[in-house]
Order: sequence, then C-alpha cells, then structure tokens
Amino acid sequence: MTRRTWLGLARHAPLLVWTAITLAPIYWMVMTSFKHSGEWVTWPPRWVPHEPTLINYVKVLTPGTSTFELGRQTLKILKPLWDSLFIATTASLVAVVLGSALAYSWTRFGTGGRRYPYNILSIRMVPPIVIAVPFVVYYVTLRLLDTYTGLILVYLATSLPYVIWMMLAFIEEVPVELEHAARVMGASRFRVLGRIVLPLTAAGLVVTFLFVFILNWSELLLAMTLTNTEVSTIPITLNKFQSANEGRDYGPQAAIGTIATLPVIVLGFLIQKHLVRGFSFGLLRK
Amino acid sequence: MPGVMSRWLERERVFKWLPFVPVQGLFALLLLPNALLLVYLSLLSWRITRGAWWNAPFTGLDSFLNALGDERFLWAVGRTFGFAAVAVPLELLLGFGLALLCREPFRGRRVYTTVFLLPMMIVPAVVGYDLSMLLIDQGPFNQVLSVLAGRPVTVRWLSDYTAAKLAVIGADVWQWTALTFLVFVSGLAGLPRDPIRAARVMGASRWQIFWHVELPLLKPVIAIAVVLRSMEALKIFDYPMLLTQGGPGNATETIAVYLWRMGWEFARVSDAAAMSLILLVVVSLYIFIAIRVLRRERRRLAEEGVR
Amino acid sequence: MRSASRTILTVLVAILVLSPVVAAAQAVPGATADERAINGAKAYMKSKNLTSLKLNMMMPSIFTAGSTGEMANFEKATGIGVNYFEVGILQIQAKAMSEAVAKSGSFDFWIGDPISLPDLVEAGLVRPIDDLAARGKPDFDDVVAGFVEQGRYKGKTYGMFGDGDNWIMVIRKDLIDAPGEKQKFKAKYGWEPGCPDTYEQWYQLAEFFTRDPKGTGVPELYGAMGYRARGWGWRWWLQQFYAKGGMPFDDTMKPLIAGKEGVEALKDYIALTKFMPKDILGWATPQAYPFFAGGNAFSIMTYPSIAIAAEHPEKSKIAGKNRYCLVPGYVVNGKLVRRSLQGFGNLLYVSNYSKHPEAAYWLAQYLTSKEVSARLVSGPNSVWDPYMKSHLTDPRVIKARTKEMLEVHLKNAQVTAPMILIQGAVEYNDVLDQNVQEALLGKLTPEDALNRTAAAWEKITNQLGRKQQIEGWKALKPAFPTKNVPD
Repeated sequence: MTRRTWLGLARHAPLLVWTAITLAPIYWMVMTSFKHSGEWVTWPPRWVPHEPTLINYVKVLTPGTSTFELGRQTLKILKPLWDSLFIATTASLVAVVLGSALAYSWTRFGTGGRRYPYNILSIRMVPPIVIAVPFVVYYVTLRLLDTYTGLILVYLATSLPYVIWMMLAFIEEVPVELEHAARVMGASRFRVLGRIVLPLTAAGLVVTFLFVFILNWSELLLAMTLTNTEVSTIPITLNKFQSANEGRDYGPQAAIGTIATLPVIVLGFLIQKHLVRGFSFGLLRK
Repeated sequence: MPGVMSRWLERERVFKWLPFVPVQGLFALLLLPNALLLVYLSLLSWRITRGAWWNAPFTGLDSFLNALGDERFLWAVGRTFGFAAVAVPLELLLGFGLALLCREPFRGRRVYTTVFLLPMMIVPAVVGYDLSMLLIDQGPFNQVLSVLAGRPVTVRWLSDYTAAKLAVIGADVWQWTALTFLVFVSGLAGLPRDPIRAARVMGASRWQIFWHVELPLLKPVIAIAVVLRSMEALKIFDYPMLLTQGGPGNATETIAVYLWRMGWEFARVSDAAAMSLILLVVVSLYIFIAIRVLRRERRRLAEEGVR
Repeated sequence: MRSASRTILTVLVAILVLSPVVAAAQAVPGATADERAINGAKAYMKSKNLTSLKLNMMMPSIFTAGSTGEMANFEKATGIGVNYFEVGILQIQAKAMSEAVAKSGSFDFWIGDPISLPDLVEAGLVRPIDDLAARGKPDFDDVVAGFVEQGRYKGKTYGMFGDGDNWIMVIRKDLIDAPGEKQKFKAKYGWEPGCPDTYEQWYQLAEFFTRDPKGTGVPELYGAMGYRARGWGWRWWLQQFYAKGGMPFDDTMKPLIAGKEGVEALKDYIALTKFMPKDILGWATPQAYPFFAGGNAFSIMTYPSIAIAAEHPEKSKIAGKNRYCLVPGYVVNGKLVRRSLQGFGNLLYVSNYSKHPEAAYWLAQYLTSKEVSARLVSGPNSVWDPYMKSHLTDPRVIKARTKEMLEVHLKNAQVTAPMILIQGAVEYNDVLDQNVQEALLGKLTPEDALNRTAAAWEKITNQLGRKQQIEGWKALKPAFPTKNVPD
C-alpha cells in the first residue's frame, strides 16, 4: 500500500470511530421510537426493530379520546412542543436583536467600557441553581411564575452574553469606512444599520440566533423551577419519565426525543458552515 | 418618525445607549433583586415549613457556618470540580485531535464535520434519557463492549459507584466534544499563513512547525475552549439528575443536584442560599482568573497587529 | 324585664333544639359515601352556579392509568372533571414545596405520600378537611388498622387515605412443588420449605433458589427481590429494623438506629441482596414488577399491588403459581415479631390555595368510598391497594387479587408499622437512604453507615427544634402496631 493510503487510513480510522460513537446513541433512539414495547429491552439488543411500528408516534402526537389516553396526558407533547417553540423563538429573537445592537454599540462607540463583554460573560458563569430559589419567590411576587413572559425574560437574560460575544466577531468584520462613507453621504445611523451592517452580518445573525435557540430549547433547570401547570417545555416532559425510579416507557420517550431533536439537527446542518465563523470570538484572522 | 425625535436619536450620545437601556434594565430588574434576595435569605434561618420568609429570624452567618460544616456539600463541590477536571481536558483533547484530522480538505470532510457537530444540538435531557437506555445492564453499550472485549461485559453503569461517575462524565464528553471541536476548527482555520509559510521556507519540519509556531498561535483558542467548557461543566444538572438522580449513594450528586434537593425536598431555603453564595465565591475566583486569561490573549492578538 | 328574659330563654331553647336539625340539614344526603360525595359535589356546583368545572390534580404518573376511569365517572355524574398534572413519583415533594412558596393555586389537590404530610402542613399547603368530612361522612370506619391516622397531624385530618401499601411477601409455590426440591431443601436446611417465618429462613430459601446452571455469573433464577434503589432502599431496611424490635428514636428523639438491632438488620439486608439481580440498585416498581411477573425470581417482598401484576392473565407468566405469605420477622426475646411496613401509602390532599377546595374534597371522598375504592383496587392497571374491611369480601377485589392474597394482606396490616412521619421526614430518610446504599455498595461498614446517619439525624433534630420533634414523635406512637404477630 502506498504511503498515501496508510496516511488516509490513519486519518479515517479515528474519524470513523468517533463517527460511530456519535451516531450510535442517536441511531438507537430513533430506532427505539419505532419499536413496540416487546422489543425495547431484549437480549441481545435489537439494532433494527423486527416489527417496526408507528404506535409510539401515534401515542405521543394524537390527543387521544379514551379514558385511558386521557390519563396519559404527559405523553402528549403537542403542548410542550408548542410552548418550547414559542418560548425559545421569542427569547432568542429578542436576544439577537438587543444583543447585536449592543455589540454594535460597544464595537463602534465603546459604550459600557472596555470590560463590558467580560462582565456580561460572567453572568453566564453563574450556575442557575444559585438563583433558582430566590427566583421563585421573586416571580411569585411579580406574578410571573408559570407564565410565558417569565420564562422568556429569564432566557433572554441568559442568552444575551452569548449573543454579544458571537456578534462581536461579525460586527468587527464590517469595515468602518463603509459606514463613514454612507454617513458622509447623508444616511442616518439607522439607515446605516439597516442597509450596511445588517446585510453584512446576516450570516452571523442567523448563526447566533440558531445557537441560542438551541440553548434555550434545551434548558431544563430553570424551566423546571419556574413552571407548573400552565407552561411546560420539552425537557420538562422528558424529565417526567426520568426520575430513576419512574416508569420507563422507552418507546414513546424515544419518539419524544426524536421529535425534539430532529428540528435542531436540521437547523444544525444548515448553519454548520457559519458556526465556524461565529465561534471565533474575535480571534479569527483574515 | 417625527423630525425632532429622529434627530435626537441620531445623536451619538443617545444612539449608543439605546440598546444598553433595555439590556441593563433587564439585568437590573431581573437579576439584581434576585441576587439581593439570595443574600438576604442566606442571612436568615428560613425553611419553607416555617411560614413567610419575611418573618423568619435573622441569624446572620449561621447558615454559612452550617454550609461550611456540611460534609455532603463539600463533597458535592469537590465532586463537581472533579467531574469538570476529567471531562473538560478529555473534551479538549478529543476536539483538538478531531479538528486536526479535519484540517485539510479531503473527500468526505464535510460529512465528518456535520456528524461531529450533531451531539451539541441535542437537548441534554434527551441525551440523558437516551444514554440511560443504552447503559442498562442488558443494553447495547454492554453488548458492544462484549464484542470488543471478546467476553461478556456487564458493567452496571447506572448502579455501580464508579461506573456511574464515568457514565455522567461520558455523557458530558459525548455531547460537548462537538463544541470544542467547533472552536478548534475555527481556530485552526484562522491561523495566519505567513508565519507558517516562513517557517516552512526556513526548513522547519512539520512537527516543529506545529509545536513552535501553530500551538503558540492557538493559545487564545485553547483559552476560549477551556473557559467555555469549564463554565458549563461546573453547572451540570441534567445528566446526573436524569441518569442516576445523584446516586448510587451520592456518587453523582453534583452541586446543582444537591442544592436542588436542599431547597426543594428538604425545604431548607436559607441553607441552600448560603451554599449558593459560597459556590458563587468559588466560581467567581475561577471566573476572575479565566477572564484575565481571556483578556490577556485577546490583547496579545491585538498587539501583534493581526486583527 | 320578665318578658325580655323570657324571650331570651325562648331563643336559647330554640337554638338548642334547632341546631341539631340545622346541622343535620348541612349533612349531605346519600346512603353511601360515594353517593354523598356526588350529592355534595352537585350541591357545590349549584351553589356556585357552575355546570362544569375542571380541577387540577397533581398525580404521580404511575397512578394515572388506574384512576382515570373513576375520574371520568365522577365527571359524568357531577360535571367536575380533572386535568392531570403528572410528575415523577419522587418529585411530588419538590413540586409541592415549590407550590407552598408560590401559593399559586396551580393544582387543587394531589396524591402524595404520608412522609411529606408534616412538612407540607407546616408549610401551609394542606387544607384540613375535618369540616367537610363532618358533612360528607366518608368511610373512615371501614379502613383497617388505623391507617386513617396517617392522614392526621396535630389532631386534624389532612389526607384522605386511599392506598393500603403494607408489604406482602410472595413466593413461587410451583418452584417449591417441583419434583425433588422439597426433599433437597429439607435435607440441607432442616425445615420444610414454605412461607418463611424469619429472615434467616428467607435467606436460606433465597440461597437455595438462586440458580445459575450454566455458570455464567448471571443467574437464570434469582432467589429474592426487594427494592434497593436510591429513594427506596431505606424502607426495606427499616422493615427489618422494626422486626428486630428496633425503634428509630427514643422518647427524647435520640436516634437508636446505630445500636445492635440496626447493625444486624443492615448486615442481613446486605446479605440478602446477594440473591437479587444486580440492576436492583436502579429499579422501582415499574421494573421490579414485570421482572417478577416474568418468572425470573423466586420471591419478592413488596407492595401488595404485586398481586395484580403476578396474577395478570396476559402479562404474567406465573399466574396461579404464587403463594402469598405473612411477612417474616425476627425472634426477639424468644418471641417471633413480624413487621410489615406501610412503604408508601397514598393520601389525597387538598391544597389550601385551591379555588374550589370543596369540590376537590368531594372527589377525594368519592375515590375513597367503599364502592369506588373497591373498583379502584381491582382495576387491571391499578397500583391502589386494598385497605378497607369491605374489600376483603368484595368479589371484584377477590377476583383481581385472589382470596388468599387478600386475607394475608389484611393480616399483614395488623403488624404494619409506619415510616418515620414527622417534620423533616424527607431529610431524615434521605440521609438514611444514602448511607444504607453506601453500606450496600461496600463503601462504608454497616456500623459506620448507621453511626453517620444517627449523627446526621441528631443535627437535623436540633435544627428543627428538639422539643417540637419530641412532640411529633410522641404523636406518631399510636400508629405503631402492638401485636407481635397477626391473629
């Protein structure tokens, strides 16, 4: 074998191993979602369902009318799906708008001081459990407990640090000269933002949005603390089956997991290339 | 927009503060009162079973002394740092290695990159549940291990003291190597060509270039990755809660799990508040160091005029 | 003057005469408790001018399947329906505590265990129901062995008792009756195999019936099962401790668990685990029941709803092959002491912050009436267990559970001890659980584990207020059994 083949092998072998490690759990989950209860725990484990079925998805997605189904409302994920989508999207959108504006302001005018981004980042470093208890008390007083607004505000606050950091890199790449030229020609600041900065950072905005969207979509601890019956998100629904001593309905849980994961995987595919740039945190050189 | 209004907004002094007002306002209204409440609660001896918190007795530093004397708390802190100390370097090494392998374009690189980024996108709760299914005694993971080892392997991943810890670390590594991979890919892509070219011209070997030129240039990237990951690793809640509920015994009880238990199951809110503040102090030290490193690296980059 | 005092006298007499009439008028009509519940509910709806109402109920997910039928019946009769808010069974406490802080009224009533009762009452979450019970007259008298006491705290009734969770022992009589087994066993251990009287006998049975014919290290048949998981294991130790004659505290709230009885009980507890599947450290009911019903173990000590799983016509492989036993015990001072544990037991609680507490109460009374509860405990997916004397003779219950099991179950109830039901119970239990599991894993010696627990318990007691804890413990004493063995 030529040297090139050996090198190729040396490169592909570890990559393939990690690919297998990465894909195996995902594959298993998707496969389990198509298994009926007899196939969930078998020895030897079945990597492909022998009798594939859609029953788990049916159970999970349809409202169900029999009295038995009524009681298994936990498995119905339409509401949590909607709640998660609404909350994550709103929080992420607002975070991106505010955070990008702030990043722009800091980059161009130095508002907030030189250390501002670092201070903001330290917010993210605080473990959420630390504020969870006082938050309940605080939210109860404000009547924000178990409301969409309440959770959105919290996610907004925790997403802003990431948004600011990621957008910093993209905004720095917009040449100041362009903006100056536009202003000299009489454009207002807002026009400059809309006509010059926005298009040039569009990729960055999209990436940032999708990144914080994924973060907010996945968040568990604050969601568990700050919601009760009115609001419920996907991670909470999954958690209802996860006290180590609760019924393990593997099939429907796998269906929920697959449904919860598929959209973000698709999004991930789309933004993959841009993620690389977004993650430079200002260290990317031209 | 009315003319006067728009002209006012155009002024630099006003314009630049526009986004700051809502953001700082949000932080002030949302986070500040909570921080103050946290401090106040920690100075009381309040339990949920004792009536309203505004009536609770003010006991000053009692809760803090309790917390510092609570062996279980100290163990939880140590355990959490221990997890991070194992998980983060693993993630760094793996991510770096994978990024290096994917550095030059080759056929199929796009596929690999896409796949490697997948775990990051999955809800950690899903990961927890998924792995709990894979790691059962008669599960596929043990099956694969048995095939590789050539003999039956039945590790009790979820009910053995050490194995459970490995399982939690494993979950974190599986999911977040994707992030370090991403950071390193972008870092490697952003390396300046000139120093490398120059070194090659001067006859340096591949290895020498790597060790003496590229690695030093990558220091800021490594700093970023470390800060990002360790920041999140200290907070882990989802995996231990979902996989083992902090068990077996307390093998996987991280700080977040213990504080959760303290506050909601034992209803000892003041103790939880005091512990949170102690934790905050410890994490702050860490933050302080981390931020200084970050700033230094960024500044160094700026000074090298390569921005 | 004289006419004034005469008027006053007349009024007083009138009040005296009329008040029982008035009180009786307040009592709800109906021959049975469930009828009264329905009537009470209808009257309530009328008084509020409502035709339909949805109550929010927090429920452990494991209970929902067996209960929704009855909820639907109630809704049809009264218009009061239920929205379920399902939570993992061990998270009910955390959610309830959160609600005690939030006071949001997000759920009207819930099913919870008796362990959290003292804490939740002190937190102001639970509404006492004596006033409503006086009007509705639920079937408290029919409940066996004073289980009703577990819903009482400081003289008031808070929870409606709905689930007789005292443990039962099940063994596989087909395995004993298999040819040759009895002789072999008797030859080795010297007694005729059957229901064990003592833990030592159970150990011997378990040893004998753990079979690994191929020598793979993974037995095909396990000798015993009990729960050993985090959050559950401590209860099984507590049962053995009680049977040794041990008490967790003395009258001054000094912990007694680290004494001889506790250590020996823990050693036996650990020894028995040898014969259980290794994964038992992560199992609770949803895993243990199917495993046993699949024929994989010889014996199990667990909640009485195991009978439904074990006798299930379709899902069980061992229907008809089981013998239901009295719980074993220890010989203490020459006498056999059997002890079962009320290992969970579900009570229906009404929230203080509910907007319709009365409606919630009527539903609770409905579910705990003789008729409806008989249906609930005999349902195919049920985890509700018999707790009323009438269940013993109800044909539906007998059919679902077998007569033998019912008799044994209600006998076990006579020697059933409660868990530690005082303020801070969750904390006491958690630290016990943690240390017991660490001893089980070999991380601590049994003495160490119990000493640490005792020390932690002292700390907890002092933090909660010793005097108060002493009172709470004293109040719990009547809930303990007085007999050594059932009649």
